[in-house]
Amino acid sequence: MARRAAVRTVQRRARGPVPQAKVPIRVKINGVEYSHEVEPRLLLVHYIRDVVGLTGTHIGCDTSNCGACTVLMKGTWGNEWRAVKSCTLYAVQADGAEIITIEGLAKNGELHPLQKAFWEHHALQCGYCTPGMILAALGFLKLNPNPTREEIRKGISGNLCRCTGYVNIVKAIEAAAKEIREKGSWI
Amino acid sequence: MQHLADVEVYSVRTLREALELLSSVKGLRVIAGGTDLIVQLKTGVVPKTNLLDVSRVDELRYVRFEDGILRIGALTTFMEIYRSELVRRHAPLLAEAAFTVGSFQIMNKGTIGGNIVNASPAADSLPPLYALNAELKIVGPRGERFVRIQDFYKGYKKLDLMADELVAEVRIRPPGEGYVGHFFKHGLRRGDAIAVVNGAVLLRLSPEGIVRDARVALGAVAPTVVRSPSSERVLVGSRLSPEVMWRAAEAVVNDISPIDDVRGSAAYRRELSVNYVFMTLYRIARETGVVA
Amino acid sequence: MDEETIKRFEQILKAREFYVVGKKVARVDALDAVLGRPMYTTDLLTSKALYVRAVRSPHPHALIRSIDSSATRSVRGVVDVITHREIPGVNDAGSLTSDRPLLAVDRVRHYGEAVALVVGEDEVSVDEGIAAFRVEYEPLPAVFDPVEALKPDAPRIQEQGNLINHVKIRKGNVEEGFSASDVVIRNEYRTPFMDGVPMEIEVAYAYPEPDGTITCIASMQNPFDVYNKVTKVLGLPPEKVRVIQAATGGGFGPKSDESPIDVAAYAALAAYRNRRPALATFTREEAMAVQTKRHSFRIVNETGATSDGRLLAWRSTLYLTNGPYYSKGHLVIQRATFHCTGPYEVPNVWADGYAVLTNNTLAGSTRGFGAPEAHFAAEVQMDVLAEKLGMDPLELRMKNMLRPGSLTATSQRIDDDGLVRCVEAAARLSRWTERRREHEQFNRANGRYRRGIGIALLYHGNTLGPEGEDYAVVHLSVDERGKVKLQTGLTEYGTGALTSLAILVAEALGIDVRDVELLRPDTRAVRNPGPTVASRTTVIGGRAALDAAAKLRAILDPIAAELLGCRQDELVYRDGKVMVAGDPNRSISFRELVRRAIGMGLELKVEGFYKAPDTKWDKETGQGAPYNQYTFGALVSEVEVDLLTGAVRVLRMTAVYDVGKAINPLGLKALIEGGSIMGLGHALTEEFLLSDGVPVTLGFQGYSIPTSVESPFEIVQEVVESEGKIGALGAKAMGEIPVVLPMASIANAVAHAIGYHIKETPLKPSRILEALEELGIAYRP
Repeated sequence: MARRAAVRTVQRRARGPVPQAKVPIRVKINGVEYSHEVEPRLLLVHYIRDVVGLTGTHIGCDTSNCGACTVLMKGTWGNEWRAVKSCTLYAVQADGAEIITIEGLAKNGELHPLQKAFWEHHALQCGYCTPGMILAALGFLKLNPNPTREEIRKGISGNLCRCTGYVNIVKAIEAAAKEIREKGSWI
Repeated sequence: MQHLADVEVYSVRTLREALELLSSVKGLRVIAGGTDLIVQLKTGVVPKTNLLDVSRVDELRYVRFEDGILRIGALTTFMEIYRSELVRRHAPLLAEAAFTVGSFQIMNKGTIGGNIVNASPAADSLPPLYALNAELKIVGPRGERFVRIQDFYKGYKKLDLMADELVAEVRIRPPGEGYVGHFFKHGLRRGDAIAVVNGAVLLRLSPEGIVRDARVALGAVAPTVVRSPSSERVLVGSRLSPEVMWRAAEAVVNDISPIDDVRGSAAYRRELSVNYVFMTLYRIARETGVVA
Repeated sequence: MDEETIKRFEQILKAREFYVVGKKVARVDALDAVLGRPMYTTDLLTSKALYVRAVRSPHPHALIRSIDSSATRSVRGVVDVITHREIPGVNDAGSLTSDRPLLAVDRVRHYGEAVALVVGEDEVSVDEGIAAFRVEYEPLPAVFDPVEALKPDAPRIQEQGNLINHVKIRKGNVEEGFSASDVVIRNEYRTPFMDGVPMEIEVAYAYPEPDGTITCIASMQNPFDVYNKVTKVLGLPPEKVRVIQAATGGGFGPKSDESPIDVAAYAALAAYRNRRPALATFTREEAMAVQTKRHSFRIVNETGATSDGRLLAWRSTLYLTNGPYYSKGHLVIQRATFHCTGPYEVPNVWADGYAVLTNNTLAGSTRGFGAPEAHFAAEVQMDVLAEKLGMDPLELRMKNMLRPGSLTATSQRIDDDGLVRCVEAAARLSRWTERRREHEQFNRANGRYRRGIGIALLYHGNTLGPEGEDYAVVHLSVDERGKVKLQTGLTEYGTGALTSLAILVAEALGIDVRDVELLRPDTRAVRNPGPTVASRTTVIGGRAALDAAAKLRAILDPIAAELLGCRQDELVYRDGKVMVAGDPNRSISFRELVRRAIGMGLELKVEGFYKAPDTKWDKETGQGAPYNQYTFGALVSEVEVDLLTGAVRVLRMTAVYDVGKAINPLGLKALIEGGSIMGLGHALTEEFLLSDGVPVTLGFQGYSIPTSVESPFEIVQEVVESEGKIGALGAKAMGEIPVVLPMASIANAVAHAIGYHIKETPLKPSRILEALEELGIAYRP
């Protein structure tokens, strides 16, 4: 039987949202376990920002095009770390999954190679797309640790940046890939 | 950003649970990768409706080759399809298409079953499936049944699928030796774009360069993806000369009925269809050494 | 401090080797961004906020017959409904001109115009409330085409008529010029509406303070424009409103105009009326519908020249399609008209620029402010002329370009050789002649692809000039740790300009850039510095920063001189120390000097100010000097056109700009890259389409901006420094400039590839295929 034991009929009211029955979820974000009761309609990006309070994951559109909300996820759609846009899944779909957001990259005060490279290569201007861009890049490097510039361009084509023209972003990812390969540790 | 109106999301882990819920709860819509559906819910393209989340029904996530048939679980993501050695070996057309469905994030989450059921005429996985004569395994309370992909679509977004049924598997019988094919896609820009026109061409060539079998499928130019019998007729039995390739390409206009929309006019789509079919034929001809 | 002293101070700075200016410096604010630290408006919400959203008109022009909000009020979670009647102050949200109500009164003039606000506990309640809101409209005849809108019987959009500005240039005798010409060409050019698309959508968060003050934190370029209008709308005394700019995810013009005022006023009204924090933002589709767009332009250029390529006469007629409210349209047409000939000396010029109200959605400032459209029309015209004359386009340009002593279309005398140096460098770096030959050779093979190379040249009148009062204010204070705090109402939204101000201050005080801390723009803490637009911040704001630094030095110098036993003019500020020139052992650390000064009871807090000279020109003839200085540039593009798909791919760009003085070279390089790609989008994919005033390309699925795969493989850059008259250390305006030329440069490259000039942007595949068909060019192997 389904995990949500009893199937309730949703009462349609005349107007105004009816508070939804909440569903318990457990998610590990940046190595920390979180348990919350959430409404089923809650999107993962809102869960991360509004419930957990990690606001580094941004929102730039309603159509899953901009990529600002990209996080890494493991445990839904397979058991590999993969970049996903957190605006097109429900928080309940992440129950039991692991997630990495921009706040989880720097360790012990040391920047992640991608963060360092974005900073040093002037790979950001307004900074709004940056967290999503870095996570998309990381997910891509996990699949392709030694990419060409053309491959990098495809790898981040789901993330829009209006300021930089992507030139320095591609250079930064290239530099970070090298450092990650040398360190032998991607995270 | 738009928050979603209240919907229930029922999460299941097994196919049996999914089918039970589909039978017992009316009006459930199945959500897998959500890459299209959540956007459609947000923008109101799809009326708000309760959802059955099958994203973790892991038994539907696989690529297998058994009894001479390539079997792809409906919940296999495009990233998995793109990276699958089995797909690359037995249905390289599909691997090509999987790489173009969208950005990596879309490939990571979007599933082949979702692409099929979402039924966009511009869906990138469909022209290859049409060209490969793929078959769908559909499961429901009355057991399982098999439908040819061409028969699955009854019109624009009209499916041969009951409310209590699920698409469980895509089956492809590898076309066999001597087949060469390619996928093509034209978007408004090169990166992460919805197809203005897409398609697949699959040919079997004799060693002399005579076309023995031809399958031409086009997307975004009719209410459903279509095969082009006119084009296929020109090809079969002919040597793949530039002249034949042009005639075959130009013949596709008999089988398509594009419309004007924001992404392009009907005339433009017709011209692109012709040019892309030609290019793809030409590419095949070059790769097989039929033309220099 | 008097102008003379400041000038001397800057001369001293310029005379010596720079320690910080022109060096590679990382952005001062980039670290927070890579760490994802909370900085943007929605990151800063401290408590549960009310949510506000507007009920918007589905009609481009209609009378409001009645409004019924009763059903909305009964929606659970809806707490307030605000129409124009509930506005406590004045219903005025126009950024410059008070012609635009915050909420429609009896008439809507564009699709998406706000009629009422629904305030609720959350977004879902508000959306339900909006769905239940009833407005009865009576559609009115509407007009969308500028030429139609100028006809006497056209629907009148505002009382005073649809023509809001007519800019004229009358130089020499244009008829005589044409008669004397061997060749005369006349072409019409069109560009569509476009959207600046900052990645962060407009957002504002407002909350009531215990003392009744309404504080508003928001994403915007101009906190004081927002402050002035919010104060007016709320009807509060000035001291009861406070506006703070949060980190702002992109500006590009839209965030200097109307929509930031709207969201701030929505949030402020909701917070004020309900005594609770309130958040207002848009969906991306809504933002695109109501953000001010880049104006659509229609430009007719008629050009006469001698057979050896000397320009003799130029006549331009420019129509700017505005929305139904002024916003900045009357100023954009001015800049476009003043730049209508491109950077060439033409003895006889006649130009008429018309800014016309229509019922399309709002249009206003967008990076470049009319210059990209004017340059597109002028620079393609130059290429058409070159073809007609059988000349190399570069040669024709070199023959006519502005050199020292040349007079512009407004008869302003050019003093520097910036353009000449840019063109020479661009020709050399791009290997213009060889590449042109190579591409032509490539095309003779009649393959599937055609290649081409194109050039476009730029002049860009600096900063506001005729567009407003060109001044800036920068505040500096120093604490006991020797940290210098820089605060100004000039804003950072991605350009890196505030990093440039920090660099200038660090240079003047001999300290590390990391010891200059930027404080958030806050209307309560700073004076109005004028708007952050027109690429002003480094140029004009930089002067104010240097003024502030000089004022700090005026306080510190006497103390240092006494401590070190030297004259004040012997002091050198460098490497965090103050030392005696020629005797570095006699020194004191900057921090120690500061501590002593503070210990003496001195307050190290100063306000730097600079105002550029007013510019003068004659309204009837357009003759005079509308700008204080000009930025120059040259952009070479190389493209490949696919004859089967019509797709254009930019292979390489060579960009050379005369920046006056590169204060922040890394930032500059990044700015040029980013602007070039934005311009590439304008050239190839971007068009904001409306169907009878209703937008049809909303959201990222409808409106296509470049992704990472569209950017060219290579952008070769060089910077020329031909010192400007007014900018800080000679700097010239650069923020907007890189977006000006790509449309023209890429269009010229495409024309070289296919042998035909397409005179309308974007150069989308369907348009290219049409042209190829017309030309009978096809790939048929």
